[in-house]
Amino acid sequence: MVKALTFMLALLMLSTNQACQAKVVVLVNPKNPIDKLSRAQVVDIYMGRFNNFPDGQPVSPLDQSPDSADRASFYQVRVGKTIAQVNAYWARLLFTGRVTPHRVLSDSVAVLNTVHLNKDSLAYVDSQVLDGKVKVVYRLKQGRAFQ
Amino acid sequence: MSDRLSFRIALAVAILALFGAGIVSLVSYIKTQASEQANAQRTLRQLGLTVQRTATIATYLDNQEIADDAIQGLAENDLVAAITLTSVNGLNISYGDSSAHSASPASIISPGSPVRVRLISPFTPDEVVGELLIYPRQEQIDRNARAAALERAGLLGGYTLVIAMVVMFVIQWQFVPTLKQVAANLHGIRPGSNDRLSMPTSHAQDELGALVGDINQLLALAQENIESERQLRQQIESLERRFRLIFERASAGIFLIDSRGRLIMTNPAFIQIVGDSINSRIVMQDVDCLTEIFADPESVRSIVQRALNNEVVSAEDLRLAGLEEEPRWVHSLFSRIVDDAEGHPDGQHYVQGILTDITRRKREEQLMRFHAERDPLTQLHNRRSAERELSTMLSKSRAVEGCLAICLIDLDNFKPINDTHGHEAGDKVLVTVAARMQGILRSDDLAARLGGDEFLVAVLGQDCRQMIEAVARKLLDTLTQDIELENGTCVRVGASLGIALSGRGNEDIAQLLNLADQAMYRVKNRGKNSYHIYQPV
Repeated sequence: MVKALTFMLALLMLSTNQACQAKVVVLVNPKNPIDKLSRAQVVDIYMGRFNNFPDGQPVSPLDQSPDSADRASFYQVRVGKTIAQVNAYWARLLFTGRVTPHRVLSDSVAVLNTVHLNKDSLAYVDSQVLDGKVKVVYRLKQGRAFQ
Repeated sequence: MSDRLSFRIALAVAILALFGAGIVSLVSYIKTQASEQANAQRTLRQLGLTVQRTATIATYLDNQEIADDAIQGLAENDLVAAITLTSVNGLNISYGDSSAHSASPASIISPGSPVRVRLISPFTPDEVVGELLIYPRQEQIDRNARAAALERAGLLGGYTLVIAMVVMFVIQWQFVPTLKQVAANLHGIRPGSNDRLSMPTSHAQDELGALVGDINQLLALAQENIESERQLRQQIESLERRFRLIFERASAGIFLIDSRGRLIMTNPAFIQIVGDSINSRIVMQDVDCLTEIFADPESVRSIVQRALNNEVVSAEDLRLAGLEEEPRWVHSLFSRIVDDAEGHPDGQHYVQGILTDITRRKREEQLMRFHAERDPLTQLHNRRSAERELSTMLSKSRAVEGCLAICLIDLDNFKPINDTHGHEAGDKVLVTVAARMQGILRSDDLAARLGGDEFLVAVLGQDCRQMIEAVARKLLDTLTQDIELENGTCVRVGASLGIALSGRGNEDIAQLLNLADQAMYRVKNRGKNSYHIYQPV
């Protein structure tokens, strides 16, 4: 079973020339009591549906810069939308005046730092840049990304 | 009549047209209304799909503003009565009065029930985030549908009516006038005449032309039939005239009697034969005519019965009744006639009789027979007739259980008288002897001259021997008396009588004559002027 999964993972990594981009993970401050989020919970929070973690504490999601590979990968793989589609969606939300856009950070390092400092942060980075000061609550499963 | 025909055609077409237009309009109305309703439903669903995306986002986010945005656009449409947008997280936005629709349970299944659009999360394919209900403005839709249906029905009905009118006018202009003309022509034609219908020029090839042709054929056939019937009637009339002529002018009397013997019909010849007084007494009267007509009605009745039963035509000579001195005879022919004409289904049976007056012929016949049977000189039976009479008497004697006695008489001394006084004197003697014989005999007895001076008498009875002996004695007594000749001289003859009696094995005329002859010669040999009865030895 484990061998089979490892084999599949290896196969996936081989089959994509952007294997490194695909390994986006969702993370929170280690002090945050949340240990795990479902895909739907991640999407609902990032798409502006919920402003709180499932346990009720407020959440402030962090976005990377619009042209970053991590951002494209996250939305493409996670939400199933292109960046342009996501931008259009947000434009509509912003038009109502009731939503504030996510805070945008310039790179992975800034993201990691922010998460490290803020208990209510929710962010995504490439798994390769992970350090021990954050808690991963959701790992992207590849394969569902390219539809 | 033709006016009525065209009126009726017009009426029928009008009724059919109205009926057809009504049906067409009704069907069109129902179908149009249904399709308009379906159209409205489709339009509402399309409207729902148009705003589905926005509504989905609104319910996904529970965002009032986006929801208003989506609904505002829908509400503009005049088919929409009310809109309800609900999300799973509690957002509930309504526009218009949807309660009126949901309050009435009937409207849920009626065309007024809302169009339901399920809203699925844009990011999670299986997650339902809300529902959009669009309530149709049913009265508006109904109004629109009704208007469209009415317009459509009106158009179709009008179209049908116009076509019907055109058909009616075509019939009225093309068909009815020709039919009127044909009918008028036909009305004027007398069956059996040479007149025929004229072929309508514009209808020579169609059914009307065929009808005219057929009518003309029928007319020709009728004329032929009437003509042949007329000829037949003429033939029958002339035939009848001839038959009547035959009946009226026939020399034979013709008459008809029914099965009960009543006289039904007679012709003039019959009246002449039977007599006017008798005829008028019996013709068409409920009396038995045979008794009045014939002398022997019983035998005629049996003849008539035979004719009725067997259809055998019997021809008889019959004597007529009547008190005339000389009997009158008719030759009658009877035959059965079965009248199976109309009115007599069982066949009334009649007997037809044909009478010919044969009184004169009968008289001549009797005269001839008399001459043939009698000796011309003495008027007694001649030898041949005597033999026949004897046979009759012999068979009659057997019937009455009597006997027949015959007596041969030979005159003695006749030849010398003949020789001396001549033939005329001889004839005188013979005539006198014959007259004397007849004077002695009864009418039933037989007297004959066998030839020359040989005579015969015969008697018949229970006791013929006594009778013949009495006769013989009288004969001997009278024959031997004087006979006065023309010239005044008297002569006398004698007689030898030989007698034979029937019975005891003598049952044959020739044998009896032979025996009588033997007895007579015995007398002659013994001295004449006596009689002898043959005695078997």
